[in-house]
Amino acid sequence: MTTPYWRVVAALAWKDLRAEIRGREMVTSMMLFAAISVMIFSFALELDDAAQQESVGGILWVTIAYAGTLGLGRSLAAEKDKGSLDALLAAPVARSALFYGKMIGNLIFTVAVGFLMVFLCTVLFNVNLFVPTLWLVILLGCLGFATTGTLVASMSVHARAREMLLPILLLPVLLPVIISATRASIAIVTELKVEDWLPWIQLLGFVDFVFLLMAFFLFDYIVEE
Amino acid sequence: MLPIILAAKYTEYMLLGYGVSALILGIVIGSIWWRYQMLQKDEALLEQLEKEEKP
Amino acid sequence: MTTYHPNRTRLLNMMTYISMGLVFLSSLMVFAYARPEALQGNAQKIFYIHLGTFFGSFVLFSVAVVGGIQFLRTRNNKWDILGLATIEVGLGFALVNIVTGSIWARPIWNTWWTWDPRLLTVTIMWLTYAAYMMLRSGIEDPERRRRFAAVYSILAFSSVILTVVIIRIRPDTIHPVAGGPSVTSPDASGDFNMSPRVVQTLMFSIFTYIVVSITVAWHRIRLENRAQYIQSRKVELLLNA
Repeated sequence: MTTPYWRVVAALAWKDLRAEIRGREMVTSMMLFAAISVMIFSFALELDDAAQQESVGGILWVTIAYAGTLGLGRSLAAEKDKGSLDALLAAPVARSALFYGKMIGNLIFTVAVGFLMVFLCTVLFNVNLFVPTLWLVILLGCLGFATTGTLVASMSVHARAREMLLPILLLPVLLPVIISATRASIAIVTELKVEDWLPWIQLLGFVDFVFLLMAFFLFDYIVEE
Repeated sequence: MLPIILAAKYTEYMLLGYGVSALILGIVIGSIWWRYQMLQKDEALLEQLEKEEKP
Repeated sequence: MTTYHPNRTRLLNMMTYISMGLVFLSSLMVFAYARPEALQGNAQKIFYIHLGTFFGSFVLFSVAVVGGIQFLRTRNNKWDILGLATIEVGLGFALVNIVTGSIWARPIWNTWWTWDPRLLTVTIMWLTYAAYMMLRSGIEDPERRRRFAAVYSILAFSSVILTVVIIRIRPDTIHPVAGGPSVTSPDASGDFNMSPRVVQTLMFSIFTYIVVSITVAWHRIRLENRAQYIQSRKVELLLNA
């Protein structure tokens, strides 16, 4: 009897969460990094009120992307160094289930950083980010990030200079996600009309769908051996 | 035709644009040619070494 | 030694000479046939090579995607070489496209560079393919390198698609839409008058640089074949010694 697909996914995501709770400290490092970079942004830019409202969307996504990249590298490197991925690959489960399990773990961590940023930016930049539509953008943006990120990071862990290579490989491919998420966030924060941010959310959703589909087909080729 | 072209403005930008293009494409093609020459050298050396090996 | 069918070599030689002829002819058309534009003067003539090299790199990157898919399906080394060659040459063509755009923008937009969506996406496209080369050089195991390169070349194509469609989804671009179905953008600055001579020269230039890009990439494929052959002979010699 083979394990159902969704249970493999859930088990893998749960494994990552449990490792985190037991003190892998990945989310803690990501969150500290995010907090520090928000501080640096606020000192370096010294914005007035109007400018703060306009740039907070950009700061939000730059920080999520960098903190997320940091976490991704760690998450996949740990998997490779322990050899646990090889053990999983020997198991009779679909490869794509392994991908989605790993991806959901990374998604949860990135979303956690995203919501920390919502809190930090609201306090530090005096801009109200407690807007449900913005949270939807954060969820969709992090979904796109975790999908592409998990796919690319599972390639870059095999490279010689993996910490260097991951951002170089990942950030350009992520551009459609970053552009649409940033545009949507800025439009929502500056309280523009629905017509101004809805197309960006639709585009973001479409891009997420395309990346999820590509990952489904391509991940098999990355982990085979 | 030549006087019309020379009389038009921004000729220096046109020349700069085509000059830089020729330079970049020249580097692309030149690097392929140069690497090919290096390979020819390597092959000659290989042949020599193989000859020394045989007898 | 990879041996080629003599007809293929003949075709390659023919394409090489045709490319040279086409470049000569298109240069003649650019410099002596098309008239300078009323407002932009001779700066507008940069557009011929600007668009030509864009289409050249577009064709090469599209071929690279086919190479990537075919490699994953067949695991035949030749598809990997196709991907490597087309992306390397495509990077050169895309660089010409970006640099000529910048030189054109200096007199027309009064700046070397502006963060227009189109300029952003084309730069990111270039960086993505540069990252492809980094990925190749970063992975030592050849089998894995080919596999990952194929996967990444498929991912990287999303940046090409984005560059092509960005004008449709971002109407605030100031980049002129010349050639192809155009969405006239109210903000476009630098649009020019398309007289018959300009259109003919533009079409001929695009055709020229597509042919040139394919020919150069073909030579790059032959170089790679030869390099791998000589590498294998070196290894053989070392093993025998």
